[in-house]
Amino acid sequence: MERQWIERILQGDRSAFRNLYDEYFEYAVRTAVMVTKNREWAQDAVQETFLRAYRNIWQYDKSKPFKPWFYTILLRECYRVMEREKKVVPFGEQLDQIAVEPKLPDVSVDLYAALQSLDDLYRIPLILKYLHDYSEREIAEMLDVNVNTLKSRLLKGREKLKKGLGGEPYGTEA
Amino acid sequence: MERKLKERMLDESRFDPGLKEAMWERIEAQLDIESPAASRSRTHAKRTQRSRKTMRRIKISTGLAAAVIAGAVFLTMPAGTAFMKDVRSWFAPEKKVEVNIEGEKEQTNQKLHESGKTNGEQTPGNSETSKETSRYVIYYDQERYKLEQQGGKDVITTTTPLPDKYPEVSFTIEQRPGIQPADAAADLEKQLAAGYAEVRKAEQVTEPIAGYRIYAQDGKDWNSKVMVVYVVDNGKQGSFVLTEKYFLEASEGHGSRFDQMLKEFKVLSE
Repeated sequence: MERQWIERILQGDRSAFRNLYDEYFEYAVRTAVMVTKNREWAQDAVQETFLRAYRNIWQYDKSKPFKPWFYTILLRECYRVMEREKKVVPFGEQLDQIAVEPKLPDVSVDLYAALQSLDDLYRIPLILKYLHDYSEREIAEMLDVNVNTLKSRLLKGREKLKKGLGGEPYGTEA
Repeated sequence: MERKLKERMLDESRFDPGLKEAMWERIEAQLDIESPAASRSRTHAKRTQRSRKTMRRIKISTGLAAAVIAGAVFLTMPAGTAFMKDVRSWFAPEKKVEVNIEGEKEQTNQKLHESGKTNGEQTPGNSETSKETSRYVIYYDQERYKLEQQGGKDVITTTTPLPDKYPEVSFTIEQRPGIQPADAAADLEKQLAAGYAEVRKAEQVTEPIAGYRIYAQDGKDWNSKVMVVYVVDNGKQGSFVLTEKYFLEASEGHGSRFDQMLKEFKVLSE
């Protein structure tokens, strides 16, 4: 179905673009809210993402899944908005830089606050993993890193979360 | 922990239910500004049909008018004079063209280039069409770009050279007589595979020009090289190869401008 929409969008069919919008809107907004930590910025990022996806749909490689292509644009737009607000460094540098240990919350801090206090290097993969249940391969593609690097970041991210929560054992339903 | 984390994320990322429609309206409004023609496709079923009929009528009328004018011109020519000897009488030497750059409309002054001529003079070795080669015309933005002939090819580059840190930005037109577009496209696809990390399969397109399109990209950084090749029929069992070179960050700038130029590329049937 998604492929058909894209074919129709390429022909300029706005209703097919609306179908795609319906499909991706909710999680795009949720992701942008989580990544930017700001609802207004998230709206700017999501709106621009859909516009860019529409304008540049001809650049999308139809032999590959659409989702990573779309989320790559979304994450770039999130960082573009955050950069504009002078809160973070550009996306590319962000992914490449060595993480600086952030100030971790104390034991009274909840799981969400602990996640959001992590460095983006670990925070973003964890958001994509647990908010969307994306596979490691999909996330690696979105972030343009190899799967092993991604696995390592997820592992370290979980460890930091656990540490931030005062040692709650990872993998339990507690 | 994973379940709790997901629940907390879903809870924290809740949004106003009215946001979806409000944002869609903003997106549509923006797209309408950028492309009023496309906005018509929203409720397009009947309109599109009607529009196609109208376009067909316009095309037929234009075709008839052109045929009548061509006939009149032909009858007034001395015997033996090549038909359409001077394309400048058919194409304006300059014209204003509106281009869409990153959502903004921009007026550009475009200059006519007729292959085989430079500054109104015939170019040696390239002045006449043969049984296998064709001539063409193209309009290009004369304020931003210049057209030079390099090794039998027409190359459009920026008037001001880009600093070294930028990859090449150019638009090259070359002719491959005797090689059918499908064969030329297949050949180019193989050649590109050697130099670019990602090469998409050649596909037939109708926009911005009818022919084959091969897209190649060398990485995902701002300055990663991009090459887009279009292969067009030269009308004599051969091909024209039109190559756009730029970098990823310039896709919506130079990339869009080159695509617009492609729309103005016309092979002359002489």
